[in-house]
Amino acid sequence: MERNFYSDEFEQLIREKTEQYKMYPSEKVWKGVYSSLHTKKRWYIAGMSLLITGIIFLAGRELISPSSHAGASRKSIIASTTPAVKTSTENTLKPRPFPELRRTPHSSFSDNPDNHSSQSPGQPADDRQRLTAVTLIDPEIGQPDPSSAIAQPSNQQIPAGLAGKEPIRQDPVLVAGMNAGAVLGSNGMASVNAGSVENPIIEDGARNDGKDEINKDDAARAKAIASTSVKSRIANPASLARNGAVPADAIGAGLKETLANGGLDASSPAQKELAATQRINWLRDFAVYNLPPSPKRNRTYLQLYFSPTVNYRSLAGGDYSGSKTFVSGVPVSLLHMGGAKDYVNHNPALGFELGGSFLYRVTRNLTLKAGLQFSYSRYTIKAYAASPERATIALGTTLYGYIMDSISNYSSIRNFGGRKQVTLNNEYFQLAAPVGFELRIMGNERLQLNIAATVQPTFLMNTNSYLLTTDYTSYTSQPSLFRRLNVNAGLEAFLSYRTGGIRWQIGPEFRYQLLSTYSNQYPIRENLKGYGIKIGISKAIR
Amino acid sequence: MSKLQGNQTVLMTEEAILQGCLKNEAAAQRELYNRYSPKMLAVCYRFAHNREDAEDMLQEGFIKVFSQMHTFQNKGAFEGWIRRIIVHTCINNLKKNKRFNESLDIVHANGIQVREESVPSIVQAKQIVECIRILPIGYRTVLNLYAIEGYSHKEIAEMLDIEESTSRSQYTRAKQMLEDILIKKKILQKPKEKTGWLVAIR
Repeated sequence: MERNFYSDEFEQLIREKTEQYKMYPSEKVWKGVYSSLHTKKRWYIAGMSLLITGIIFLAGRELISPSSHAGASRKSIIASTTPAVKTSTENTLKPRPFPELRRTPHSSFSDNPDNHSSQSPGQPADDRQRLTAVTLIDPEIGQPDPSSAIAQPSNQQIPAGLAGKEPIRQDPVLVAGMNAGAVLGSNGMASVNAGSVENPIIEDGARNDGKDEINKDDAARAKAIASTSVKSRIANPASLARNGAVPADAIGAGLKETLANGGLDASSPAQKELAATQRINWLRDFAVYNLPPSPKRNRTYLQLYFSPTVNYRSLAGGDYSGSKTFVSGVPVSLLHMGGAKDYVNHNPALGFELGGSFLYRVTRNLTLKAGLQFSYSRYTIKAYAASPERATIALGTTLYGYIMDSISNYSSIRNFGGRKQVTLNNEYFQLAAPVGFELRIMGNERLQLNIAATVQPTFLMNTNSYLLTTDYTSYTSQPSLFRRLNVNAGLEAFLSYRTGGIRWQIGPEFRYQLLSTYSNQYPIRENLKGYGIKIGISKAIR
Repeated sequence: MSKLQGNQTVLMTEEAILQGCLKNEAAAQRELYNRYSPKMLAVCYRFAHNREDAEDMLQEGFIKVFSQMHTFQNKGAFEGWIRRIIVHTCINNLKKNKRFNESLDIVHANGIQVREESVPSIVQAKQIVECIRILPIGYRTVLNLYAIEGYSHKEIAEMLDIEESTSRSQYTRAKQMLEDILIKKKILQKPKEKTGWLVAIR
């Protein structure tokens, strides 16, 4: 067939033919469009990845090699202590040793008279450490440990107030013992009463250098510890001799002299009482300033948590293809082959969980928990608004596949098509009582990796949900078909970190509803599931 | 996406798609894309050097469509609005790549050799499109804009930064060349002497 046309007809022909032409782009085009439109998701994913990576990194660092950090901490403590020692040695009249003393781990041993008295021949290293520590705390009375190079004061380091006291420089320990005896003797006190000891060296120093700012409290503590240390050495001269610090003869001479002066007459009841009081005071000071706080073995904790969740569901059942008959009497015009999950367009949505639990620590690693939890879970369904029409739900099938009964409603929400798309929110408000356990996998008291599992008897408080009709064409609401009591299972893994008395925890959790949302009459089974990030705190209550 | 969901896509109204896109819903955006991307890729293909370039233009164009959705005022056809964005994206892309300017200087394209070959009796849209794509890019662009997209020479001159007279002359030559190509390919018949410009579809 021939058809003549003019120029504008030529243009029309070209236009028509090109309009008919279609090309189908590759999937990567849409991916490119989508990724540039939904950058928030990417930022969210990137942020979460960064957060989780950071947590894992820190956890790995703390859990795998905690010793290196502890070593580093120790080094830093020593580093911070050493200059203080030097300073205190150089300027003995400035009473700064106590702060350092509190940070020095050895000081807890050195100041304890019991430790000194229990020195054994097999512990020379310990003895040295103790003596070193004594040196750190006794700069005022000039007791450098012979075994400690750091604490060895040179003649130049001894201040003017001490320069004239030659015996101190020559044999510090011995002279300290003698000095203590002399001091005690001069006071006419029989016991080693550090609180009442008048240390002439310190006083001399203070008098000689009136500009030195001596805190009287610190000086008193220094005197107490110094005299206690002296007392312990005097009381156990053998240990000093073992250390090689002091010749046994010298100790014996010093001790004799002290005893001769009546310095250690502990037979008087008043002196005993005074000694006991002094010991209590010493212990109190020791506990306050030296001892690290002993961790309490609390067993009961209160835990509060919140967890944003992403909820979804799994659908099963509803396949009527196996039924012997399509129920005469049930106005089901169309039955689709296949399960319900093949005919719905549902998407996950955000919900949350909020709760509290009591934790009981059975062992170091195992903790039992029980509590109360409120959860709001939901998901969305894409449907269509349409004119009201009859919606029928067939109820259950018999053993032989016959449908027993049905419920009919009118619904204006269609599954397959309508005049306008609508999004249905299926919402569930549940109250649960989770009971379970937490198990520590690894970590220390501060940082731990745990797993936990719970069984959660659940009560459905309220719901705003739609059910699919038997022919899958409509959605309708039928509250009577929802199961009120259900059981959920929860699994979680979390990192916990203790700061002060509070333990923080964060980690992923998974929750699955073991029984169907609907009663057994409804042929479709729905199991809710939720993925979340659980954030919680726990505090010891007993 | 299941077959059933595909059917749902067909049933989705344009208004619902618009509302969904305004809310930045991925499902609605996908619906819109599925509905218009085949036509728009054909538009891009007529302007582009090859299919890959056409897909790049399409992607850029749809990103603009979705990001400027709020500017659509329901005064005209939604498809026409999308199409204008896509065409402008193509032109900008050609300008950016300097392919357009390089080829626009070709005044005569007599050197183009079109091999005579028989074609199916039914004129295929694809063949005409391919014939348009044989044209030099300057000719092709003006022809696409004037004959197919319906822009005036004044608008074309503004879009391409050329004189209006240049657009007219380019179009005249482009049309002549396309006719020659179509005739050589036996898609069109030569016009009879009596009727002057008449040609016939075989």
